[in-house]
Amino acid sequence: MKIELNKKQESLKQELREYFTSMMTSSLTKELSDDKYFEGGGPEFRKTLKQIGKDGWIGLSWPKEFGGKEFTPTEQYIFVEEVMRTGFPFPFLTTESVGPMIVKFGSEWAKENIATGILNGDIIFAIGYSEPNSGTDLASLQTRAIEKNNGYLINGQKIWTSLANYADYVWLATRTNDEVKKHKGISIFIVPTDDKGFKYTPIKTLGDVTTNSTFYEDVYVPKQNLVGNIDEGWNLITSQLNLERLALVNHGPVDQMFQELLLLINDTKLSDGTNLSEVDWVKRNVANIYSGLESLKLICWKLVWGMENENLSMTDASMAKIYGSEFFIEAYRQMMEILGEIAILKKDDLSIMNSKLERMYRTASILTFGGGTNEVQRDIIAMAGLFMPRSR
Amino acid sequence: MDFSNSEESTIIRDNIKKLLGNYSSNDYLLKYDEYKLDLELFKELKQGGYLFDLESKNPFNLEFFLIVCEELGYSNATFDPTQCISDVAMTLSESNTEIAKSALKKLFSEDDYIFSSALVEPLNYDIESPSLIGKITGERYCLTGKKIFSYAADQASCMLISFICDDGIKLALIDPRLCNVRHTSNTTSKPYFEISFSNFDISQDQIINGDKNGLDILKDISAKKILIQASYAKGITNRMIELTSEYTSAREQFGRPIGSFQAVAHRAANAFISNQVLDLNLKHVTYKYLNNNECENELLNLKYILGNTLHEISYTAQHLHGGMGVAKEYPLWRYCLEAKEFELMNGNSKSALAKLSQNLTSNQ
Repeated sequence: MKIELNKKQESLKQELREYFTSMMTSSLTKELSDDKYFEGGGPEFRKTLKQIGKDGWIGLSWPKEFGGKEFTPTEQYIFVEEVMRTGFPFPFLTTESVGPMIVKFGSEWAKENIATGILNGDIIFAIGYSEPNSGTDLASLQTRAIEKNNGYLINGQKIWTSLANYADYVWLATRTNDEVKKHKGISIFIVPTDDKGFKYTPIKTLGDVTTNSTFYEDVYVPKQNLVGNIDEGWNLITSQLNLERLALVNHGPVDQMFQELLLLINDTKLSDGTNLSEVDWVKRNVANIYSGLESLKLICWKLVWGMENENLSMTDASMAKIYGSEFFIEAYRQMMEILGEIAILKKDDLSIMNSKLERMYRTASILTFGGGTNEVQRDIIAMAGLFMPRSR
Repeated sequence: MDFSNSEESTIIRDNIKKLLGNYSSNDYLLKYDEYKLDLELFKELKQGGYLFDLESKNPFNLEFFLIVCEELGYSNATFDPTQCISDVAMTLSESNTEIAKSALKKLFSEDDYIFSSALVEPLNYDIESPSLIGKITGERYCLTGKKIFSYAADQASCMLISFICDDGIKLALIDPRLCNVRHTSNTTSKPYFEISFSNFDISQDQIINGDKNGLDILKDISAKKILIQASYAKGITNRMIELTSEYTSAREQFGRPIGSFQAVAHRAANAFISNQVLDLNLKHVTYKYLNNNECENELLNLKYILGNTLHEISYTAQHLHGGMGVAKEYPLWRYCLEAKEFELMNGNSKSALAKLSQNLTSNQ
């Protein structure tokens, strides 16, 4: 048993912290504080991503022969943690979920053009999975791809296609076979967003995060855009979910805010002159957040350790997703309680911590249902962890 | 990073499991429902090398002792070696005083020899701040005050006590047979005693501090107590979750197992998550403690978590069992009572949280 980062990992952490701090130039910070660009897609974001690609920080998990770094899961986790601490909207799904699968299962064209583009920071993907009537029951999806003229013709609608408003391609899950069980007849295509049959309409959300409905009307893609074998896309979908779940609940961003909060409460006096850090219930909230953070960090570390040893437990992944997403909501609540009503001020002279807290709080609830709703994760734990009968 | 268990610890766990299997059948436990003290088990643990290993350079191995405690909790065993081994013997092994060495020798050589500790006081959540007063009179101390929850004090030949005097905190070995010892009836039926001191006289050579500061000794005892309590808690919660999973998979209502209802499955899944959180924190703090890393806040956090987890899982298990959860013909009730005891012993979740919060906000 050895539950701590080793020297190499600690030094990677330090290197990344310094690197990404230097990346956050004032012009990039200014762009990311704009509601239109805080999720990325702006010119400064594009420029920075290219630079990150040039500096070799994209393709962490990719094989070295494809220009990747072959980072271990722990190193990948550290990378995600450090990037998220800065607030840079790094396109992890593109670089760490889509990219490695293209390298492994994509056509020669996809490997040469798309994978290289991702590594260079030129290409960003949106993920097209959910549909209006296929959310938690994703395998019931109905967007269709029909073989035609040595390629495929795609028709259908997706929802919650985040980043589609500026992405270059959609990683699209389609139905290609109705004659087999629903999980078996699904295929994945690389769909360019500049196709004339592709359209999107933005959906504004509570947290000011923009997601999209995307529409596919007679979108034609050649066979080279198919990833893996026809009808075998379900495995490509599920294999990236555990990684996605882990990235979603990385403890870095909340820890960063917690450290900022500790400094703040020590320097802040209430109107009666009492230091905020001396108030009993404030101290209690601080300790509660610390306790949750410690546990979340350990849950995530155990998960990456499991991945590293090819012993990834489905139960651990589900547990991380539930614990992290529900802890975030509680942590933000308790931090906001400490700061009182000024915690809800948006970019005002009085606002604190650069309004990060109020924004994080507004986006937190997405995680309890996004990436596999927590009810289904609990079903998984009951079945795979407790060996209870399947829920009906 | 490595979350795996060593081969040696797996062997110890398997062996202690096997041994405790003989001491934890329902019929066996029934015999101890009125008074839970099984000296046969104590002897067997001692002889089997589960409490100390005289062939080793350091006879006490906390890492393995924690495994033993977890299995004792899991099996609802009828003997608790915490005070004898962790509070007293491990503390004495660090002392360079003659009395400590001689007491340890007896523990190692005499089968029936048992230590007890008297560190807990009524309405004092912090064993690091004893209120038992020792008045210095020349080379002697005159003690007045009260200690509670002294385990098997009626059987012990030697007892470790803590007190405060003008020179700071002192720890001393006394003969409990010379004290006013009273059995206190309690929910788990463990042999807990109240020890009253009224002008009780002890000499300088009974003090075991040696060149160590009394507060530091108590801090170390307290740290080990938290790790041991968490290990017991882990054993108890593991068993409660196991019972719940088995019961809800077998019990049918409306024509199907009640575990197939999401409401039931999700409550059980929450208990599972809390249990994993306890386990991970226990492993982490144990690792830090054994490697002499600073871990005061992590220990307090563990204490906070273990109390909450015991409470949550105990009530979840009872609730999901329905009537069986409280029926004495089924084993769960014993675990629930144990859970409450470990939740409250040596400070509770809230007192740990208060201390943790003080540390976090004053360390800026």
